Amino acid sequence: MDETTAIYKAQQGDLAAFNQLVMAYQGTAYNVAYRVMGNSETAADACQDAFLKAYKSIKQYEGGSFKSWLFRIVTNTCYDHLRYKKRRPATSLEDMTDNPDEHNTHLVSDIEAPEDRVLRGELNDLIQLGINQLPEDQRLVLVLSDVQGMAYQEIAEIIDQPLGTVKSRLSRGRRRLRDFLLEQKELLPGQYRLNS
Amino acid sequence: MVDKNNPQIDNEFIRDLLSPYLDGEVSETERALVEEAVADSDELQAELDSLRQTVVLLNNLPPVPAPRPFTLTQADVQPVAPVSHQKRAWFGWWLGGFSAAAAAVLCVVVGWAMFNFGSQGTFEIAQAPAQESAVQSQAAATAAEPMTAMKAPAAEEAPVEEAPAAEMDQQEEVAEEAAAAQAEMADGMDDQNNFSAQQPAAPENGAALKSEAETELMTATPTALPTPAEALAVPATPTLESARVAPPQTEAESESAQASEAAEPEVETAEETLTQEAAPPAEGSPTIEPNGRGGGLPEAAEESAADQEAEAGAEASQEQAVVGEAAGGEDESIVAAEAAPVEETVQAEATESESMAAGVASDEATETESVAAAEAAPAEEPSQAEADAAEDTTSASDTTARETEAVAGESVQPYEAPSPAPTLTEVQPQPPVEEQDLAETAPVDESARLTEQPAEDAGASDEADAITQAVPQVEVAPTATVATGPPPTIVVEAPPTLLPPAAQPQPAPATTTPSTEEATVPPNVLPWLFSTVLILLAMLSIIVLLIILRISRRS
Repeated sequence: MDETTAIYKAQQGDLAAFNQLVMAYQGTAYNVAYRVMGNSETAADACQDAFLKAYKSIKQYEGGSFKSWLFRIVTNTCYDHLRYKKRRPATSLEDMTDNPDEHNTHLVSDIEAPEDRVLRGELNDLIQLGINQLPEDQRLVLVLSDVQGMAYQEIAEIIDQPLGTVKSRLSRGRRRLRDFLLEQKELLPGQYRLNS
Repeated sequence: MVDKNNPQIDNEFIRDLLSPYLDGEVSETERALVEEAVADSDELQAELDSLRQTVVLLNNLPPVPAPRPFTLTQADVQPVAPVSHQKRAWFGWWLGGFSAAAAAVLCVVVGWAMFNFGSQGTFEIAQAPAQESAVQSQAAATAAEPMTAMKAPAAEEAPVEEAPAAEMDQQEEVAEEAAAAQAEMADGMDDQNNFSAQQPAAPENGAALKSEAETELMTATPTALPTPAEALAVPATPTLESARVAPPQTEAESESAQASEAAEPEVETAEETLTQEAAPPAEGSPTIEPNGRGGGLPEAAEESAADQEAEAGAEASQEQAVVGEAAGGEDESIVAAEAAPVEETVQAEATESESMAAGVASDEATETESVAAAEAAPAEEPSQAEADAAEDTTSASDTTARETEAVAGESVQPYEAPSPAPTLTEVQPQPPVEEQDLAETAPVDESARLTEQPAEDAGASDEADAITQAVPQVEVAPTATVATGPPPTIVVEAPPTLLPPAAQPQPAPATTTPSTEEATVPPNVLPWLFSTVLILLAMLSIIVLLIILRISRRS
């Protein structure tokens, strides 16, 4: 079943067809959510809510890039969760007991040596820390572009902004992240240290 | 080509193009510009390298697998969660609505309580000054003369009883003034010096009488029927009391006053002045009304009625003045009745009222001062007989005055020097024997007079019989007279002693005012305390409901 048929059936109320769409985009959606929100559990909740909203509003989809339409919902849901988190800052017990090393175990390949895995885990945490320090608008564009590899036009459709806005936000986001990584140069592995 | 000399093309502009340059999202011109700038500047070159490393790091970030599948189930899709949320919302609405309803009910209750008790408090506040003014007027009347002191208590006790009481006062004043005038006239006949000495007293008495007569005439109009509000407002206005009670009596009394004044040649001018002086009290009478209980509308009605009455009274006084002038041309008051045959009825009444006034003067002076005044009653019969026969009333008035002075000379003195007179307590212990005396001395009933008119030639014994027959009517009349109102013939010069024992003026004023003050103060305080407590309870209940609502929302 191709995407168009699944979308059509989902619009007719076929939940299975919609779940096929979910399976196709849930990894990307979760990664975007995770990088934007910086927390796996919150990202999972936001992702779940985003898919539910998409199912309820799939009849309003009128064509075009389904990925852009779906990730618009995901990003908006992430923003909603970020605002809700700002209003009621709370730290869950799961977050407090979350071990980055354990979290990163499944991010690295089994081929990597333990030392490299540790180094890569530290690098990932440092990069994620830098992403989290970016403004939300720059963060989202940076994640969609450099992490998810989306094109500028697609990003412009997702964030519903002009292409120039995407360029400027991405440029400022990269430069700010670079500056952050340069400040933390000693924490980076030698091969990943940036040249100032 | 990009102009390098353009000041806008600086390193900052090139830095902004470095990121799109890495992604290949620049035009050829921008690409050339960036490459040229980077080639010329090591700083830009290092920056471009750092950006490229950053992008590589981001691109090499490992994808994060989803912790769980986000596929939806029928349970997720079913509107279960919204239903629970809706139930919670309904619960919140319930609580909100209940709290709002409770607050509204409490507000209504508080408002009702405040209005109720507040209005009650104002009612009593308004009532207290009325009673105070009544007491003050009573005190003033007591200071002026003893009989007027009986009006205020009677008026305070019952509005129905006001009429007889006021009428009594009126009759007493008229009688005393007539007696004084006759006494003066007699003195003038006897001694010119004494007459000239007492002459100033006659206009004064005439002024008082005139004012009363005018007020009586004012209320004699049908529009001046006493309404309940007026009746309630009356206690503070003795003049209005008397004015409302005896409309027909006014003519007779005023004419009698004129006649008694006309006995003196110089009374014409005095009467004119009195007529002018009598207007202010009539106009000023409405100012007393606000002391009464009546609300705004009855007060306004009273004021308008009083204004009309005042005008009517002024006109009537002028007419009386004309009559008085006509009568003043003669030396005798009875001649005035004969001099105006057109107004036979009125002047006949005048003649009768003269003699009756003289008789009543002696009678009521007797009532007030001593039981021995009953002896003065026989003097009335000759005077009436002489008046009816159009004989010389000077001798009759002389005899009446002399007898009155001899028996109740004290009643004349207060007019000459209105000083603190016998108090109410002195008047109260009148024995019931006075009723017999009055029945004998015959307080003149108007109906009796009218019935007497055709039979002017009848003897004094017939008049006495008619008067004695009228007495029982008087005893029954006071309430019925005021209740029926308009019929003028029923209005009676009810002496105070003819009132039922319950209607007798009691020394209530001394006890009424303190009791009113005691009853007024607590209701003004308690309602506010009650209202404050209710408001506090309402606020507390609203706070509790809000707390419950918040707890329910959190749960």
